Amino acid sequence: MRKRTSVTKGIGLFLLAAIALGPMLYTFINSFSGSTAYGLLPTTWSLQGWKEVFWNRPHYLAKFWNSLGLAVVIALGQTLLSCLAGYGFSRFSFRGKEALFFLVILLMMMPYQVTLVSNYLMLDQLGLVGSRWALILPAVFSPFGVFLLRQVFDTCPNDILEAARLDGAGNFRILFGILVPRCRAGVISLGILSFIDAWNMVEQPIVYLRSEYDYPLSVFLTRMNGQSIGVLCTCGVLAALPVVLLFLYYDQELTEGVTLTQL
Amino acid sequence: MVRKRIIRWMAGVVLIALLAFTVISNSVYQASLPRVRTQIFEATIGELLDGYGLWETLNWVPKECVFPSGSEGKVCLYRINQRAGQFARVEYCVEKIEAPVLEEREDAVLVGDLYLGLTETLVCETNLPLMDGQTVIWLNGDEPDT
Repeated sequence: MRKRTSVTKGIGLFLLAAIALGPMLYTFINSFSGSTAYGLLPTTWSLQGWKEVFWNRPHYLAKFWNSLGLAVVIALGQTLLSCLAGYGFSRFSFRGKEALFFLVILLMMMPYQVTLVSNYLMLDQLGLVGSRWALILPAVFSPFGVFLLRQVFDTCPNDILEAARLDGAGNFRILFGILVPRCRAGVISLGILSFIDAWNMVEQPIVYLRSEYDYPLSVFLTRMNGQSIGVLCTCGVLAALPVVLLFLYYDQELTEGVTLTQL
Repeated sequence: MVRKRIIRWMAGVVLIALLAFTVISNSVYQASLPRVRTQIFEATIGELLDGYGLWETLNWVPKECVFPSGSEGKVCLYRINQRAGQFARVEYCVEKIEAPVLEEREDAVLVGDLYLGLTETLVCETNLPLMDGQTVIWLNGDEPDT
């Protein structure tokens, strides 16, 4: 009976893994396609897609570097600012703290499109529409990061911080010297999730940027009409590469961080 | 820890490889683009065609600045334009115009067309065959009159 249950579980998990990994495997295999028709396996095998993306034209790689630059800056900025705000909400008492945190949660739950127009008007007043700062600044000030890190910092016992304070440590020393290393998994999880979010953004570049030169790879992929299957799928592999590497490197921290915050 | 070290090395190698491919593919692409030189031509006003506001413009264009056309009695001219680029903020492209030949002399042809402006910047020198809408490397230096 126990053996049958474990075989059934194994088959079920295998099927779920196949559903999750199938599209990625399909994209990778079809990147070697030399035909224009989609199929489970390419009818003709060719490296033409890889040659087009990595050798003939620099456009795809230029968009890749646009995406990477944006995602790294946004991830680092969001993590830093969320550390500061999360520490404030977690360890300080001030009037209106709970109401302010409630606003943070409310903003977090709002779909992005709700604040799109007001963000655009504000960025236009600041003269930032058309520049990459229009993408970076709204993304860096993210309510999700504040919420996540507040929950993470709340798990750290107060007596450690009190002992540090007695030893003369200031707030920045406590935050970056004690709290962040102790809650490393949560901070890294936020960094990875914000990287993935920034890597995949499509609406914001279309609305806030004026020149296709500044577009990230995520937007460029949506506009690649008329390209061969090999080129499209090779670009898909290129787009997946940093995220896969990041996950493989930080998978343990990501699992711990998500478990810790009970997301 | 060993796994993380391997992944770190892999990520480093991948990034360096992508950087190298970006530089190489840019060189390959730039080398494949035609290099063009242009000249500016002033037009004369021809007939009023609709009796109201549509004028024919006439240009004497040197023969090195006209290209063969598929149609009889017509020649191809390539006008240079600017557009927003994918890989650069601004890129130059050529626009193909087919214009009828009205008169011919030893060194130039007289073309007349509705779509030629009073001042035209036309391609007169190119190292590779041109296609309509193709991106080119413009060698003149000053801004094209578009």
